[in-house]
Amino acid sequence: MSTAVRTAARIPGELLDSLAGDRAGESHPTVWSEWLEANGLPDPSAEEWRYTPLDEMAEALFASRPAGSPGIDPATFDAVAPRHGGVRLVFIDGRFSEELSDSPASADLEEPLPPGARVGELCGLQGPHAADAAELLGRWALPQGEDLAPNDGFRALNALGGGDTAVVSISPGVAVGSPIHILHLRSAAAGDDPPTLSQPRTLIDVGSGASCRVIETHLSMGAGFTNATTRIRVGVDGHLHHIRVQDEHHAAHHMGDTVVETHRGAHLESIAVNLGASRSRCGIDLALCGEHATADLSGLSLLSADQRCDTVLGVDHRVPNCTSSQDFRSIVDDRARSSFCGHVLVDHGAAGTDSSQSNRNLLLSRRAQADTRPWLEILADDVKCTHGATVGRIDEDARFYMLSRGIPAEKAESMLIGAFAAEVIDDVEPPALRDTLYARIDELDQGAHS
Amino acid sequence: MTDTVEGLVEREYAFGFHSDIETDRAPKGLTEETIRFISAKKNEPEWMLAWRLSAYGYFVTQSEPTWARVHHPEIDYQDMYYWAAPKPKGEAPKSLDEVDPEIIDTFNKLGISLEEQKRLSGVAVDAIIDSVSVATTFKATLAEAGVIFCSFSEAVQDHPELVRKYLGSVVGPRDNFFAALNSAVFSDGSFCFVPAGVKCPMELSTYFRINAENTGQFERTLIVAEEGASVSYLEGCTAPMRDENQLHAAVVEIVALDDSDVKYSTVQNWYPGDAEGRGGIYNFVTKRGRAGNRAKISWTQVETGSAITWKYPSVILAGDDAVGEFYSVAVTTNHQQADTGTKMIHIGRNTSSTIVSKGISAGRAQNTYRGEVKVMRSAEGARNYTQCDSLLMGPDCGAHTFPYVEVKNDSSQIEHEASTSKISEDQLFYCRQRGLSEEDATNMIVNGFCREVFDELPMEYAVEAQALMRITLEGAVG
Repeated sequence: MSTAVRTAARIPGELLDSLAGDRAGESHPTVWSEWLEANGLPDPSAEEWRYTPLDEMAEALFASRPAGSPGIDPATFDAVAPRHGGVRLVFIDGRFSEELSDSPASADLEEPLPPGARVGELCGLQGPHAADAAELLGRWALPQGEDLAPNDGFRALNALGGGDTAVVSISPGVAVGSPIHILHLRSAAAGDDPPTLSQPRTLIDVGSGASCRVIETHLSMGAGFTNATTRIRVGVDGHLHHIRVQDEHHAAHHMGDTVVETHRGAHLESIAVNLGASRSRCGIDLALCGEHATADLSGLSLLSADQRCDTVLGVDHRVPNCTSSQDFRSIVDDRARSSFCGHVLVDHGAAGTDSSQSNRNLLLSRRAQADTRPWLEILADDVKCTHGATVGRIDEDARFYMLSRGIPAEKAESMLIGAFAAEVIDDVEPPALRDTLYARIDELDQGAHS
Repeated sequence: MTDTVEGLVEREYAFGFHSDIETDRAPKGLTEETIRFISAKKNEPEWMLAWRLSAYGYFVTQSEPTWARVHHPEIDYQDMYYWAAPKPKGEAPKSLDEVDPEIIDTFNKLGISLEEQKRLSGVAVDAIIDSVSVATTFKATLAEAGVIFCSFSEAVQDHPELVRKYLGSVVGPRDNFFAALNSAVFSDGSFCFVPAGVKCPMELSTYFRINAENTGQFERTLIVAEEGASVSYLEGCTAPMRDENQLHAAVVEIVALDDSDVKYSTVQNWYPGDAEGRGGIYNFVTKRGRAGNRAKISWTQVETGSAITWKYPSVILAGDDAVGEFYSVAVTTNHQQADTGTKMIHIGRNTSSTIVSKGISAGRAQNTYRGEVKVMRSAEGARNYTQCDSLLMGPDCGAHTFPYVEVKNDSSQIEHEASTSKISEDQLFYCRQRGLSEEDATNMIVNGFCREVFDELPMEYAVEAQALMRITLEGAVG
C-alpha cells in the first residue's frame, strides 16, 4: 500500500490572474478564482481520478497560457479541418470565428437549417433559444461555488476562463437532417510564447420531440492544454446523435468533460472517439432524469507511442424504467495506456432499470497497458444490470484460421483489428467520418508492423 | 409473502448465547505498555516483541482507511481491551478431560463436540476461546506425518525458527492499518507447517469464537506448505449475541512454496447485529497467500455474519504457472454491510486465476464486491476469469460491484463478467406451481445461485453452508 499522501495541486496565482484578466469587462469571476485557490485541482488519490495522469496534466496546464491573439490563416485551417456536410461552426482558442464558420442561412449549404434550429455563439443568439441556453449555462457550465464538488477543479477553471459558448438549440418538434458540426481548434504558440491554453464550451439543447445530429471535434496545432466542457440536454421524447472526436496534437493535453441529462422518453446515442493528445481524459456524466429514456453510449480510443487516455463514465439511473448501454473499446499499441472507469448507479426506487456495460481492450504490443473498472452500484431490486470487461491481444485462433485460408498475416491482423473497432465505428455518421476512422486504425496497424 | 419477510426480519441469531468464563484482561486501551504486557504474558522471545513494537510504531502513524463502501461510528481504539484469556484453573490441560468443563460445554452448544469430532470426523480441531487455544487434538497423527499444527503461541515457543522465517513474509507488519494493528497486538491463532512432499493426512480446522465483552480479537494464522506439500484448512466461526460492537482484525498468511497446494475454506457467521442494526462484529481481515512455481492457493468463503465485513483474501502469483482461486458467497440481511472480494497479483509467467463471487443482499443491507486483478509486465501468458453475480431481495438493499483490472502486457487474457438481478417471478412461479412452498422455492433458487461456490467447499462445510444459508435468509424473500 502506498504510504505517500498525494494532495490536490494548487494552481499558480499567475495563471488564475491571466484567466480572470482574460474576461475583463464581464461579470466578476472571483467566485471561481477563490474556489480554485481554496480547492485546487482534483485530488489524485480520489477514486474517479485514480488513473488520470494528473501530475503530468497539472504540469502542462500550469505551463500554458491563453493564446494572445487568436488567429489562423484560412489556408492552414482548411488543410486540417474536416467537413462533414451541414452547418459548421468554428471556434479558435475558445473564441467564435465568424469568418471561418458557416452562416446558418447561407445558400451554399446543401441543406439549410430549418426554422426553429439555432446554432451559433451564445451572445449572438436571440429570443427564447438564448434564454434557454443561458439558463442551462448558468446551471451547469457556470456553477456557483456551492454546486462544485471538491474534485471539480477543471470545471471551475473552465467557468473562470472559458471562452465563447457554442450553442445548438433545437425547438420542440423540429427535426434537423444534416449533421451540425462544431469544431474547436487550439492554435500553436507563436515563437517563444508559452504553450496555449484553450477552454472551449459547447451547449446542446434538444427540445421536446426534436431531433438532430451533432459532431463535436477538438483539434490543436501544437503542444498546450485544452480544458473543454460540453453540456447536453435531451428533452421529452427528443433524440440526439452526438459524436465527439478528440484528435489533438501529439504533444497536447486534453481534459474533456461532458455532462448530459435526458428526460422522459428521450433517446441519446453518443460516440466518443479519442485519437490524439499525449495525455487525455474523456469524462462523460449521464443522468437519466425522466422515465422510459434510452441512452446508448459507446467509445473508441486508438492509442500509440506513449499516449495515455482515461475514459471516465458515470451513468446515473435516477428514475424507473430507463435503459442504458455502454460499449467502450480501446486499441492500444507501443507503450500507450488506456484506462476505463464505468460507474453505473441505480438510485433508490429506479425499478425496471436495464443497464449493460462492456469494456474491451485490445493490446497490440508487449508494453501496452489497459486498466478497467466497470463499476455497478445498485440501490433498487427490480433491475437488470450486467457488465463485462476483457483485456487481451488478437485472438490466436481467429488469426490462425485466416492464415490457414491463405490470408497474409498483416492483412489478417488488420482485418481482426478493424472488426474489433467496427462495433463502435459502424454507428458513426456520416460515412466520410467513418472512413477517416478506419484509415486511422490502418495507420496504427501499419505502425505496429514497422 | 409479507409474512415470510417479517418472519425473517424477526429471526433471532441462532448461536447467540454467552458462556460465563472468568477472563484475565489487559487494561483498556492501546499503548506500547499493552504490547509489552501481551508479549510478556505469552512469554515471547525478544525478537517477537520487537516485531510487534515496529508494527505498533507504524500503526500510530496511520489512519483508518475510508475507501470501503461501509459506514459505521468511529472506532475508539483506546476504548477496548486487547488481551483476554480464559483463566487457567491450575496447570495447562494435558488432555480434554482437563479442559475447563464450561469451555467444553460452550463447544457443545456450538455443535463442536471435541470428543465427537475426535472419534467420528477425523478433523483435528484447534479451538480458540477468546485469545488462547485451549485444546488441540490429533496432534500425534499429524506429528507422525511431520505436520506441525498448533496454536501460534506454542509455535513461537517450540518452532521459533519457522515462525521467524515466515511471519510477515506475505502480510508484513506495515501492510495496512488493520494488519499493523493485528501485528502489534495479536493474541493467538493457528500455525500450520507441512513439510516438503507431505500431503496432510486430514483436513485441518479451527473454530474461532469471540467470548468476552469489549474484547477485540486479533488472530494470526500462518500456513506454510513446503515444496510439493498439500493441505486443506477449514476455518469457521460463530459468536454470541452482544449489543456492543466488537472489532475483529485477523491476519491470515499462506506461504505456498513450489508445487504445493493450499486450500483455505471459511464459514464466517459472527454476530451480525440485531434487526435494527445495533451491535454486531466488525470484521476487518487481511488474508493473503503467496504462490511459488506451479503452486496453487484456493480461497473459498461463505460469509453470512458480521455487522461489517471488510475482507479481501488475495493471492500473489509469484511463481511461474502458479494458480489462484477465489470462490465466495456473501450474504447480507437487515443492516449488515459487506465489502469483500479478492486481489490476484500476477507476477510469474503463465499464471492463472479464477474468481467466482456471489453476493446476496436482503433487508436494508449493502453488499459490495471489490476486487483487483493486476497483471505485471513479467506475467506473460497470464489468464484470469472473473464472474461476480449479485442477487437482490427487497427494494431497500444494495448490491455493488467495484472491480479493478490492470494489465501491463499483451499476452495475457483477462475476462470479467458481472450481473445483478432479483429472483425472477417466473422462477418462483414455476417452483410454486410444482407444489413447493415459497420458502423452499427461494431456498432452492438461492442454493442454485451459490452452487458453484458450495461445490468448492469440503463436504462437511458444504452441508453446514447450505443450512446456514437457509437460516440466514429465512423469510427474507418478498
